[in-house]
Amino acid sequence: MRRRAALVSLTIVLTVALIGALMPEMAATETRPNQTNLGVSWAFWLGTDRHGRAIATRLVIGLSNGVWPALGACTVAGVLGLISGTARGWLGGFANTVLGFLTTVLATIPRYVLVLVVLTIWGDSALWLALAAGLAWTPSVTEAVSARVERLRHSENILASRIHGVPPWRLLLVHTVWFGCRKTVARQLLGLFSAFLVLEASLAYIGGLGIREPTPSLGNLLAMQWGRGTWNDPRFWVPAAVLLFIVASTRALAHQLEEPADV
Amino acid sequence: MSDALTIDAVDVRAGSTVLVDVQDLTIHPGEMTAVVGPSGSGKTLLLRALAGVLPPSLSYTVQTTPPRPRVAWMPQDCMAALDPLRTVSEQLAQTLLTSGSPDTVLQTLEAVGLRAADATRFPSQLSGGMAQRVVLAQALAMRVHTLLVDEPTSGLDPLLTQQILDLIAAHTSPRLGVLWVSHDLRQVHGRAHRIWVMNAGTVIETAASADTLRSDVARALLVQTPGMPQI
Repeated sequence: MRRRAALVSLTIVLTVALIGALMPEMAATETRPNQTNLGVSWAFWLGTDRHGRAIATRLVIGLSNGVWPALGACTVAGVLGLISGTARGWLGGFANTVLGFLTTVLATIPRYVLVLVVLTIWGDSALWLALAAGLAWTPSVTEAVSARVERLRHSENILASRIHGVPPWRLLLVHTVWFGCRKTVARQLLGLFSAFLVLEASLAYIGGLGIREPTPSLGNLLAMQWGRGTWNDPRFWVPAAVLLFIVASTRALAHQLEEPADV
Repeated sequence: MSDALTIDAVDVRAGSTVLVDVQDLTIHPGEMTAVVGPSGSGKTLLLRALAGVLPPSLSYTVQTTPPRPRVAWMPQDCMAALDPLRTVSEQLAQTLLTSGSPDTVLQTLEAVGLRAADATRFPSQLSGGMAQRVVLAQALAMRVHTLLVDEPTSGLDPLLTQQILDLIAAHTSPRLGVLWVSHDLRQVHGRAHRIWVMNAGTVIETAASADTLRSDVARALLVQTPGMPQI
């Protein structure tokens, strides 16, 4: 039941993000000097900000602007983590030592610091934010996948399948990676997905990094309204509530995917 | 060409410690050969070495005639030996495909006393006895000459134990020899055609039946087994 609720919640988030991607960017950045700081109305569902921009439109497009880079970061971490983790766990020995060393080196750099360094050197955009976050979360995906593959490689199921004539490529790709690791990877990536949105919000709040104004994002909406609104003002709490809703949904789904022997 | 599998030498070590050192034994087709011995005597290690499924922390060498034989393996925990995410039918179909067997999944299931309805079940929907039968079906579907069976009845009730052992015995054909690890001489008595007694990693005695065992280890095992004729 909880799993279904979490799945429905995330489907709603992705649907809204898709709608936001189809809307023109202008709708979120268009300023109306004579309609600033309006309250909730039929014309402006969540009111307008101090530049006269519609908060509801900015929220939908902002969600889209955050979700797609988050999925990009998940792709980067998922692909790199799955390849290196599988190589470490399956091959063991020298490959495990070398890749383990590289993973450890990368993991010693705090994630936020790594993201800030990448954004500072290569520029401030959603693309670099996604790449940096993907890279920063790769070690945790690698470790989780490596531990699971290592355990599965010596499991009775894989050993018996090997003896019962299942080809090695199938044992690796189908039995181990697909059937054995998909929940582990999904759990890690759900964690990254919500962490990315929190990261983006934090960067927007501490210094306008990542997705920059006037492009809307959850972080920019929060940064714009933080300290200016009150709890009965939806412009203040709706973006925060959306962020919390996504974090809670992804954490709930990740918890449902947890396996007893998971790392 | 004979279908017998001769174990010329099996050597399993953990570092410099010898865990198994077995030489010059033969698994004959059409026979059930039982390996008995106290806990820690190396029975399961011998079987796993022959199957090639020892953990990487152990070093081992196996020399057999013919070399690199194809064997089937029934591990102690059959439930763990099944892929939890695929149905019985999918797993059996994979084995049949790989071995090039002309049999169908249904025929293979019926051979071990399972029904067609069981084919669509996942391992979590099987009882312990059913899981044993599925793994036995997989092993038989491989069409090999040697079946390695490791304590096939651990955790089963006496009735199921008897059924599983009878099933294995029924499939022991002139083309198939069975090497069967057991700690229970009652099970072995009357079923095994040969008995190897292991202690401290080596086979210290071989006999045609439990009645003719003479070693101290065998005596100790018999003393611990109520209902067995004492030497």
